[in-house]
Amino acid sequence: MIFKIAFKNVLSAGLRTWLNTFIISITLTCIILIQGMNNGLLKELTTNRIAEEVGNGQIWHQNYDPFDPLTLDISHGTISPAISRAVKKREAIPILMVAGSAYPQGRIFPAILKGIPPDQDILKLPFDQLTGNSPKGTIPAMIGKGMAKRSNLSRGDVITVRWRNSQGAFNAADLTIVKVFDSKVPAMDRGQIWLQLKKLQEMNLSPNHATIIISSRPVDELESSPEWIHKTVDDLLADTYQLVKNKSVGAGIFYMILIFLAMIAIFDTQALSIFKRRKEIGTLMALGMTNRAIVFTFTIEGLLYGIFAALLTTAYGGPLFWYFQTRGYHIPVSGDQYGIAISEHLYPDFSLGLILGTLIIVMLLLTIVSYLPARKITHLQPFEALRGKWS
Amino acid sequence: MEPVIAVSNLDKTFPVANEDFFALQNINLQFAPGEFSGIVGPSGSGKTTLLNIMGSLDKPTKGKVYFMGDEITAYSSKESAQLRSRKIGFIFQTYNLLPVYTVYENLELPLILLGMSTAEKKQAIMDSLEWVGLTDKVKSKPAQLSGGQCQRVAIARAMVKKPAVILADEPTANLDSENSHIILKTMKKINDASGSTFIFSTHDDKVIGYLKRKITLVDGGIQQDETF
Repeated sequence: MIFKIAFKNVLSAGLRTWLNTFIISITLTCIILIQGMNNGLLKELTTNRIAEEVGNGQIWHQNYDPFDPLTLDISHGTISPAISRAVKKREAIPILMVAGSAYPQGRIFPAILKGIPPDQDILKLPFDQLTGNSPKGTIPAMIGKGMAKRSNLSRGDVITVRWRNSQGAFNAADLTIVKVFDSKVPAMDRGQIWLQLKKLQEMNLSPNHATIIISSRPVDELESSPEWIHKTVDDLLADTYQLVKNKSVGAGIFYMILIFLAMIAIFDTQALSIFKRRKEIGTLMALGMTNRAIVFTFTIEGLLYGIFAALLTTAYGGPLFWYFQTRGYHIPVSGDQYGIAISEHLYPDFSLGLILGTLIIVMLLLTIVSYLPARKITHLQPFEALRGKWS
Repeated sequence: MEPVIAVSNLDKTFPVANEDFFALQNINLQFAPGEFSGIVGPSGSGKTTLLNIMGSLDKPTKGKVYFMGDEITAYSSKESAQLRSRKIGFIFQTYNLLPVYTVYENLELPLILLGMSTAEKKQAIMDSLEWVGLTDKVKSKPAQLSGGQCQRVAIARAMVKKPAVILADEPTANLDSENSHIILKTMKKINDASGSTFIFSTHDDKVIGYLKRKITLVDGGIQQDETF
């Protein structure tokens, strides 16, 4: 009965009901859409980085600092027998890094030469192309699309690189670009020139040396030693988590403002409705309805706005969410220019938990803001209500 | 015969400028089942306040009210609501019909509170509307009815649950003479047929002409209690 009364009252409020419904619906849509984008961003960033950069964790040489290329010449060491066994079992890949300079078409720019076994299958990038043919006297090398664009290089181009080997002597060689690969992870592309590991070890006079080891198994399962530091997936993705967390904090403030505006609208509507309907409240009391039942009726009325809003959101938000989930949100500038591992299209992640969680939170808040003005009725005397008074 | 309502040594005061204003003072009354009585008096004499207290819509400052032997002045808010739901029907000066409901739904509301089945509700509603001659208006909303028709719907709503007592507060105040007589005749007919006790609060001579008992209230006290 209470639902029926509340339903009739809400419908009879006409435009006021639809305005409230619209405001709550917009709030729901924005929260689900933005949070879906954030979830999609986190999913894409972590998936891409795990597939193309991080693996299942890494072991770093104790001197390795990814933010200081000048220390690369002291950041490599001999691969231990245990790690070598893991490499043979294809459970780990050693990567050697050497600081150098590239001279494409008479220009110069700094580059990090990276050596990787071409037959690895942990990172989902086409390093097997490093075994491809190159003109005699040149070394096959690969670069990413971003690097190719910035240095104006393409497949088949020959560039000269210069580096200082582990003995401190400068040396140079010509490389042939055998493949320009497409990576979503800027760290695998920007300023990187990829060579076969064995070749780079030869060039650097550091046989069986590596700077980092990428593992396909949880990194804790690999042998540890003071010279090598274990980095778990969470350690390596900490900056990504922090980035999304920062974005979520900003989005959270936006949600709070939206929810606050919607709740103000409902509170205002409820307070006005109760004030305007004092006589009706008195009549319901005279007919024998308890104060509690009347409070409950008004609370349900507020909640109905939320239910209508959820239906409205399903009607127009459903197709909108579906569109973004299947077509993705086009990012006007390519991801590597942001410095994050993202492709041209961001696919939001609208999980059931996100949708239900958002609905439950909004419904709960609606119930509270509907109850707050209605609870005054608990202390209202029937004769006062009938006279249209409020004690 | 046990009175349906008995009022004993009742006072009602309101605070006015740090002093107690006596709206009702030392009221002692008894109403027998089936009475067609009226509390009459000028504006501010305490008629509506007395009616509200007898209908458990308000509490006295002092004294007791018994409804069919039970002291209702000691009732909790929930018990008062149950009493009003089961045993008392109200008719108001401004009809107090719920505007968003049809005539049928306005009459259905008190029956829903009693937990009646759909078939029982329908029968009771149609019987009530027949008494007031509005069976053709079941689907109309209050805004589509005249003042007289609205008050007849209010009478039907008050009697639909067959209460022991119907309390009518100035039921003809908003009606013209013709409609007032129609309403009063309807209520008299219901009183004769159902045996429900009717208690009016009024200063309308047309109503007074129909009463079997007239209690005159002046400045919160009973001045005269006449039976015709």
